[in-house]
Amino acid sequence: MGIGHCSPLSNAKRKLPPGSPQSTSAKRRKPRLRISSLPNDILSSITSKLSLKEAARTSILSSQWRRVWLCRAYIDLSHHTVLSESDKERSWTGPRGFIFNELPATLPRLEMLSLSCTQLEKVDSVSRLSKFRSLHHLILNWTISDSARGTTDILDLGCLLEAAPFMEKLELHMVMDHFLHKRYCHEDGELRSLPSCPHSHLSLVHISGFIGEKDQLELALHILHNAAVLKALKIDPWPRTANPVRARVKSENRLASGWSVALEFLCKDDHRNVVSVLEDVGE
Amino acid sequence: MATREAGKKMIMLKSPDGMEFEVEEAVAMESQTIRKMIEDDCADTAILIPNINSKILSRVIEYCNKHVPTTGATGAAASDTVAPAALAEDLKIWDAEFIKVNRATRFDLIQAASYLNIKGLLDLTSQTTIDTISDNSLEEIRSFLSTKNDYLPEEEQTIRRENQWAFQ
Repeated sequence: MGIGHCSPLSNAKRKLPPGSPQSTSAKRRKPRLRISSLPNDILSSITSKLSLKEAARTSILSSQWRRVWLCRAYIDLSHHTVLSESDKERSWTGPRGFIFNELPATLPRLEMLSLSCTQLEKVDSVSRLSKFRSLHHLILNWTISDSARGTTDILDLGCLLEAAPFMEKLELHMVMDHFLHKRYCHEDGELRSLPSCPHSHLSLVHISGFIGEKDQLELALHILHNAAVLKALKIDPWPRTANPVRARVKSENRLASGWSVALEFLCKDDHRNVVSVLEDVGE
Repeated sequence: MATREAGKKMIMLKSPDGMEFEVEEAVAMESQTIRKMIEDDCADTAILIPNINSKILSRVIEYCNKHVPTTGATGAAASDTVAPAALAEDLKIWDAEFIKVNRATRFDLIQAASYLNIKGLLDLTSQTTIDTISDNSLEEIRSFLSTKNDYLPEEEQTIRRENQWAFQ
């Protein structure tokens, strides 16, 4: 669609598409009822059926439409929804810059956010944002490549508890695609912990691709300790992702370390009996 | 199998212009708003439907009559006797006919479907608008929606910058 390139002055020569209802009568007289007289929540329900990009473009229609598109309950951010066909070759490193720099500061009705990325830069600024006020379901698909592993600290995600205080369900699907896998053991030193951040809504957590690395364990413990009404924390060594997964990601060794680290260090702190470690390694 | 009419509870719907429509409870309950009223026992006498005139309300009832799951004068569940695929095809053709109305009526129907919370009708009535937005240029969309661009040039620049990713 050509929204982006249409000059606002081309009004004089507008041509309605064939089949557009009332194209002739609309020219003759002003329709009695304008869509602008529809309440904003109906306009939002209309834009929420458009793709994210199409919906965002309606912000330019008129001042009434400026924020209509933001009232969507579900946002799926991945290179499919944000990049168009023509810029597919542009690399999609991660939505962090996108969310924090490009999405406007408030998404009042966002209930479900699905992110797919290969890189998640340090997310310490999340806690300063009130963007996720109504978010109740977060899905994060995160592929961590070899080059990114060195600068990635999974424990950074702990601040999500603060940023999304009403989140009820968290799915974190990691694909740990780096060469050097290191299973956590006592000799690796003390586990770090973040300042306490009690969370009173989070009840279901699913972490997949858990291969027992230190920061993965620290994040899982942070959630376990702070989510006061947690009903289930599902730990899944198997990477659950739609993308093809390379052999080293699903090597027996990694799956086994995920399983044993979860049993040894996580279950020990599980006083409410909410942790389950999946043994089933998928198909 | 329920015998015809017997045991079927009827509900009276009133439009603000004074018309009354007697409909089966099951038909009225296609509207989640009315369903809630019935379930909360707020529907003993007639239900007044504000803001929806009799012309639009009768069309809405027509839609619900067609879309209520067990329908037909026989009282038998139509879906039991007719293949589901054929039924769906029939509904699609019927919907396409139903929506051949002028733009003002369509906007009235959108508003009614939204107020009465009838998801199928809302989807059906807003589809043209959705298609128009995704297939046309900015000016064509504005013209279809009868919306005027009231931004100052610098405001428009700001918005384009804010959502730059969407305009690339």
